[in-house]
Amino acid sequence: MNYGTKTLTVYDNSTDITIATYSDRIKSANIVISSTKSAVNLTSKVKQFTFSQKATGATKDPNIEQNTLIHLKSSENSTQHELNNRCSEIIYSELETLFITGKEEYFEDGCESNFSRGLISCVQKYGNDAIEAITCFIVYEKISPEVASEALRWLGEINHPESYKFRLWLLERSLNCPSSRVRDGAILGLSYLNDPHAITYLEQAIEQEKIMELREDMKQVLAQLKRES
Amino acid sequence: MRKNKWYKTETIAWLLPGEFQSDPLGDLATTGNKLSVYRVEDDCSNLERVVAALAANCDKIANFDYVLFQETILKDIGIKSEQTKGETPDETVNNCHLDLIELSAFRLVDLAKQVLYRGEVKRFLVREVTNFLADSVQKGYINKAKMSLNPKEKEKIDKLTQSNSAFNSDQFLP
Repeated sequence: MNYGTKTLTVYDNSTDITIATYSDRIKSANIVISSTKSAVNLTSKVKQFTFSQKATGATKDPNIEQNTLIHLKSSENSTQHELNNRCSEIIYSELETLFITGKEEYFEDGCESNFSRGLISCVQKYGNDAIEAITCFIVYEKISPEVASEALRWLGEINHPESYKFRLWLLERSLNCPSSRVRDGAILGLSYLNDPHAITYLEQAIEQEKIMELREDMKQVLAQLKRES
Repeated sequence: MRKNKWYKTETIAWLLPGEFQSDPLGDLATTGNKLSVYRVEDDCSNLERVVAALAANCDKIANFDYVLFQETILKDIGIKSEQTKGETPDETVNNCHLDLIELSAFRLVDLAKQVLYRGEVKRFLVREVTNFLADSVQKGYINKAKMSLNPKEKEKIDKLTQSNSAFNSDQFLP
């Protein structure tokens, strides 16, 4: 079920907040915060921003606007740190939804998917903040190895210079993940980045790798990177 | 298919001796109880061309995971095949296409098991696949108009083809 778009404006701090449509199933909303300094497109758990809207299911009730304005005014007083935390929560929530729905997809090499498109979009919108959240999901094994592996492949493929170093770090770090599929995703991501910086990490991973086939695949990527260097 | 589902040497605690994980079966997707395969020469002389033709059917150029097995496996487990035309932009490769037919669930599991233990699961990395594609385009094997690759990927192939042509023509300069 979709709800209508509602726009609220807080004039005194030049911040527009748009509560866009959201789906009942995932219980999240797209929130666009644009200020004089920057514009970010964020997603939050509905309850954090639109609790009263959700309770009544209405969009024209002035009380909702009032409640939301009160909520926003209290946000005005919050520190930048708190705002950053909220942004992180929102990014985390959007990615969480993406990873959950990604589990239902069948991934094929060379084929884009809803998951890959969503992942690329998140990285392009949020940059390193998105990579930070993705790191949490992968390193702390909060998502299925299949989806984590797919994410790592695409993180190597994405053209986004601002997040390059962080993505390289995550791919190198993921060579030590407990799941063989995640480690495989990491080597494929590294084969796309083709950065000789990963050589040392690959050499260490090869020494530790117990699965013979995966070790051979790591050697194949290592050889490519050595040719590059 | 994805190579990381086909590891033979991974220790899985819950598997009994002789068993294998069910995930590889997902890579053997049948339609009408048929499975599409391509015949590769014993010396693998046409392998890169087959890979290029199949890669040209994708949205993006990516790594290519594949499994090679001897046709005798099919006879051993009673799987029939029939030659049908493939659907790639390379007509010669299309003639190497076979359908494995009348596949029951049991036969498919048998095939997966035989492929796992007697076949070779391999991978070409994205750079190699890109080179195979450029080579096939340059030699005129692949009909560019029939490639499914997105425009950005086609541009990548065009650039590589042009730089290869320049390199080759430089070699013949007096």
